Amino acid sequence: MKECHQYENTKMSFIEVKNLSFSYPEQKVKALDDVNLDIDRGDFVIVYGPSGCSKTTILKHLKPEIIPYGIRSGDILYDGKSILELDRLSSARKIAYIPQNTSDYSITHKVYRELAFSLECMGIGNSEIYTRIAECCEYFGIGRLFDRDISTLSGGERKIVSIAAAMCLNPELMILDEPLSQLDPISCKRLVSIIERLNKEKGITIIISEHKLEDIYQFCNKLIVMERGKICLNGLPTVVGDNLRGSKSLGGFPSYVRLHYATQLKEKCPFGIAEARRYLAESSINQKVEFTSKIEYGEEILNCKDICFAYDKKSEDVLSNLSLSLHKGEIMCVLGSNGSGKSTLLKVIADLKKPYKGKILVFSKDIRKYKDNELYHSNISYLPQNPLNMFSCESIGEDFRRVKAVHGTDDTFFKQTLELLGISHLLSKNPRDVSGGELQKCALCMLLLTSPRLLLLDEPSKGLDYASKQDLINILHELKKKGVSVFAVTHDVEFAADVADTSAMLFNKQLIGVKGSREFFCDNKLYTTPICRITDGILDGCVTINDVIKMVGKDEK
Amino acid sequence: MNTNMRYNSVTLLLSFIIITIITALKVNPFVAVISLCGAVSFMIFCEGFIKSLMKLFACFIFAFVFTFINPLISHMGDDVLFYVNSRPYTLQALFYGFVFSMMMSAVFIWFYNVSVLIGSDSMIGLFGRLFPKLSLVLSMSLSVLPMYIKSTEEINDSSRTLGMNGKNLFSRMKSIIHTFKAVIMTMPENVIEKSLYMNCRGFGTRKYRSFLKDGIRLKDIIAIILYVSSFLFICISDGMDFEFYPTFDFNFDFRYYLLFAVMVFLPTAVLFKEKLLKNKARSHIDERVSSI
Repeated sequence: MKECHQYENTKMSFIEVKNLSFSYPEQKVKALDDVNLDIDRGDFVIVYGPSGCSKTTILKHLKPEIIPYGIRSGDILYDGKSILELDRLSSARKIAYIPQNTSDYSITHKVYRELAFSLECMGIGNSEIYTRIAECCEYFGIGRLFDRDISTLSGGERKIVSIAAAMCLNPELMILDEPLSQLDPISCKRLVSIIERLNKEKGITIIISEHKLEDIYQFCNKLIVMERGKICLNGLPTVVGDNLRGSKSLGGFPSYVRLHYATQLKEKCPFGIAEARRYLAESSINQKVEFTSKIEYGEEILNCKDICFAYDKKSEDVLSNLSLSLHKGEIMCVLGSNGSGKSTLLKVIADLKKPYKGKILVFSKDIRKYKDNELYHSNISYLPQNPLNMFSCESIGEDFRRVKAVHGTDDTFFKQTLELLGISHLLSKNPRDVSGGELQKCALCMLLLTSPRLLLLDEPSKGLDYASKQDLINILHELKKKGVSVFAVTHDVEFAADVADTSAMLFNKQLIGVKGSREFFCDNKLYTTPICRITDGILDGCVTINDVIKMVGKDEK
Repeated sequence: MNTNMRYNSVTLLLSFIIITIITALKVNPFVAVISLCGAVSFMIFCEGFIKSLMKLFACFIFAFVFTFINPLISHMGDDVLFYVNSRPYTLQALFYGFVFSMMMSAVFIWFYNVSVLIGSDSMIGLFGRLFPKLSLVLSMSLSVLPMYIKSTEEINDSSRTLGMNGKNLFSRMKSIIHTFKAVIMTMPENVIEKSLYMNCRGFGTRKYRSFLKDGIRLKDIIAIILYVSSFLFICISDGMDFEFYPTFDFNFDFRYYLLFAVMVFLPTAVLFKEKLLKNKARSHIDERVSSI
């Protein structure tokens, strides 16, 4: 099957969005408000904005099959023609859309079937399908995954398989909705390099929505900033960054950009970690502050000694002679790549999985001696990776009432918790209708209704935009002041650096490098915060942007 | 399990189905013995003797029990061995019980061989040629099932850590209902999303053609023709008929049993030959390396 991309008019934009406004059914507020966009062939575009600003909505409008239902005005032109006039075959071939949740995108159960699916739908012959999927496997380096079940793949591998499956049709345009969320830093870098190669080597137009630009900022040639359904800024990333100076929207920008706008040490903003290091080194900075890592701990509330865990007798250990201790009012973060066993560790501590060896003491009592649900009443609470799993009723308020009834929670305490988290207005909403950040807060509220003294959090910052993450950090610090201890597992190094007192890495089935967070990140050279990598050897002890601001002597914003 | 067989899964499945049908249709001691020997030899060759031992033991227990129970139920046959509760315990019924249990053991072991050799993937590939959309539905079900099982586990874990899973029966029922409700709530959304993304990827634009990883070769076609024609030949003729009641009566035509034995032992022979050739080829590789 031969394909030929004929460019009818090379002067016209590849994609034009003209005065697009859109409202979902029965919604008074417009999801998209007079949006105008021009995207050329070969562009690498990032659509940036906080959760709920309609990034996904605008992206879905560029794929005819999934244009949302609602009230719409304005035009969307694809290669000079209305996108709605594009026939289904052309739309499937030319435009690839990869959603945030790849389990919805995956249709079949095997990797090779997934790669072949689009080609099967086109009625292509067996041998040609085999050639194409072999080619894709080699290009993306997923040959070893060929016969694997999709359900056994890690998050990063699934994303790469989805992109490879889309590439089997050789599209002109690839749209990715938050592809880097839920991925650890290494998988992020791998995925970004693949996307960049597709753009540079094949000339595929890439449109990505993200609220965190650390890994992807330097590759784009067009950055679109959205807020509340409107496009606020649109242009070169450096120009857009300059226009956002002093704004909270800068929170998702790379560390070197935020560093420049926070410190204003030079005129020109650095572009990349290496330039940022030169930027700092060439600026004369008097180190005004010395950071201390001294933390005073209360009594020990969690002690794990020589924990060994395996899923079954024949499989390898996931945790092997792992020991840790946590104190009252301490926030501890355990980092590690996807598949390193972080969630398993959390489930073992939450008594959801039984270790075959070792001892766990929770509040100085053996975990096996807790009877019935005693462990989960005013002792520990567990936040799963997908907080939606905690909700089973039509409205959030109903779920809260269920938990209140079981735990006998006081109404006053309930109202105080709602106020602390700022979610009183969400009680009547369906859990599926709220944003990721709001859902996380509702899930946290449910946990707090059980009056826990120890919170176990699995990837709490997953999918959260900068503002929601800051809210979460503030809430955890408030809880810490009230004596609640937190044990979180995450691959978000910046979140861990901001929130944790103690950090450690889960590697090779054990906890490595258990130290104060500042010491942990400063001592690490590779698995550390971007600020650490920038300031290493130049400014001692800086782990977050606020540390740099303090060091330089600027006012905190 | 990778047996390195270079026959397509369609050929393998068809041959096993034909053997099983003949075994079940022709309740005949010679057929039962040949089929059982073939099935056991295949199982031992694929799984090894130790792993096969449990299944063989189970078959033996079943055969032992059924052989001696059948005459207590069926009193037909002329040769009475003794009486139980004034009902005749006949030689024919005893022998029939023995043959029937061997036949069932053979069928059971053939089904087991199919499940080991032909995984879900091959089954879907098999349907892909004849019913491509059905194979797609099967593949989708296999992708969705682990997702819902994992989701159910996670919802149950969340419910438990919120203290919702009580110990008494009523609380447990309540939490099961809530877990089920939570899983059901996600289903319509997931189904709609999946169907939208199927459309995005071109489903419905042209006639759907299923992809087969292993193509059908000439040797597969020859094997299929031979098996099907042998099956028809055996079924039409009466060369393998065996009467148990009232006395034993059968036609022993050696050609039919020889044909059936070839059909039964061919998969094992092919496996053995492939393995032998491969080991021989690999031994040459080692010699070349060591000579360097």
